[in-house]
Amino acid sequence: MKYKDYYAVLGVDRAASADVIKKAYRKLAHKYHPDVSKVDNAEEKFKEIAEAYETLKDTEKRAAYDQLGSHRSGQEFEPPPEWGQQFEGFGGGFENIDLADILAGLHRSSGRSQGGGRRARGAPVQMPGDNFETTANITLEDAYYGREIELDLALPEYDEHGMPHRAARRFRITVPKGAMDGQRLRLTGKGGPGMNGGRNGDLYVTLAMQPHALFRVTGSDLYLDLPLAPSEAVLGATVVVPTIEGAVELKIPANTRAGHTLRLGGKGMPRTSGKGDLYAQVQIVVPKSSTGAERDLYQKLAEISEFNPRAHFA
Amino acid sequence: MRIEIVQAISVDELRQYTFTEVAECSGLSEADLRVLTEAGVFEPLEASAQPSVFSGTTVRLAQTARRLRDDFELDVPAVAVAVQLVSRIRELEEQLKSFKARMSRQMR
Repeated sequence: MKYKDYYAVLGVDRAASADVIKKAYRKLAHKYHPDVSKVDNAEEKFKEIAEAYETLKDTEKRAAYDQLGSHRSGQEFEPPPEWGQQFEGFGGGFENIDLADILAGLHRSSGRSQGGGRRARGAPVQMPGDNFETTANITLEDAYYGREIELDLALPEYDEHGMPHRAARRFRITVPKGAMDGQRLRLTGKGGPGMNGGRNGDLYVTLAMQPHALFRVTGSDLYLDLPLAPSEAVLGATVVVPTIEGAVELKIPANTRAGHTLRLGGKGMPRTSGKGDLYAQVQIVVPKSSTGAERDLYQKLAEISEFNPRAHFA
Repeated sequence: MRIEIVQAISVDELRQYTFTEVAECSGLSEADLRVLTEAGVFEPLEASAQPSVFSGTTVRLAQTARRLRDDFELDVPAVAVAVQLVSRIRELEEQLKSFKARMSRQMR
């Protein structure tokens, strides 16, 4: 079993009072809670903090945790042989057991329901399993085509003795066609196991769409920067433009200005009926350097043109 | 490793959720859910329809409410305020994301 230094996670002394621990937790929770924080890796960091607080705020769990002694964080260690006896159904081994899971089992083995309510002696309380949440990175193409993706997770399970273990599980799910960044998928019954006949919890997967090299997504529409040479913008042209399904030709009208948006209907993301659109946003781009002949032609153009783009300054 | 092929249900606007389903998905008690609905934090799809049905957005907000309640040890009135603020933040973030997508990369 790997040791986790919960005191270090919360930044408190091992002899800290309950009040100090609570204050430390609240401060860190405000900083890292995934619903309010913009810090990178906030979710992972918050899981650590919440796990530490879950143990240290509970007198019984904290006492059981303190009995393990102090070790280096992440160090593999063996608890004292009698330590596991306080957990009902303890089979004697600590392999593949997460420290948090076994401490969470302390309440189950002592018979208290998570809701803290009373129950009749000897009557097992039906408890639904925990819901779990995870994030899956997907590409724009995964969402466009509705591809299958695989998720590898380590989820708690209970063995025949009721002892928690982390088990590696692999799920294959289909990304819905036209899925959007932040969309949540529910895998019913794939969360934590229910207790005493309670239903299993669910697994929620939030889809995180990775930025695309070319396209930006909003709703079911796509946006693309379309660079044009000055000659193409002034004279008009037929240019090749990428779409997700392949390149298409796009006719540029003469005198197309920078910032102008050209719509390619039905070339966006799939939606309930049909598809969104692709918008090509025109940019006029000049080369980094010009040949002598090009410079001569631009000079002649500058001499004969009456076009003044800053007329409105006067 | 065995691969579990699972039917994933999208928690989105196309599905409707009963009161009980929202409670089940979120982990909130039906009592707390009722209080938050009466406070206007969660709105049924149709005000007069009975029984009430809710959208996927409500399910997501209810899940947020449960997390905030548990993680910050909030009472129900505090949860109501927090959820309304989070909801507004999410709305603004979506608008900003949409605005940025419409802006040329060179202009950013």
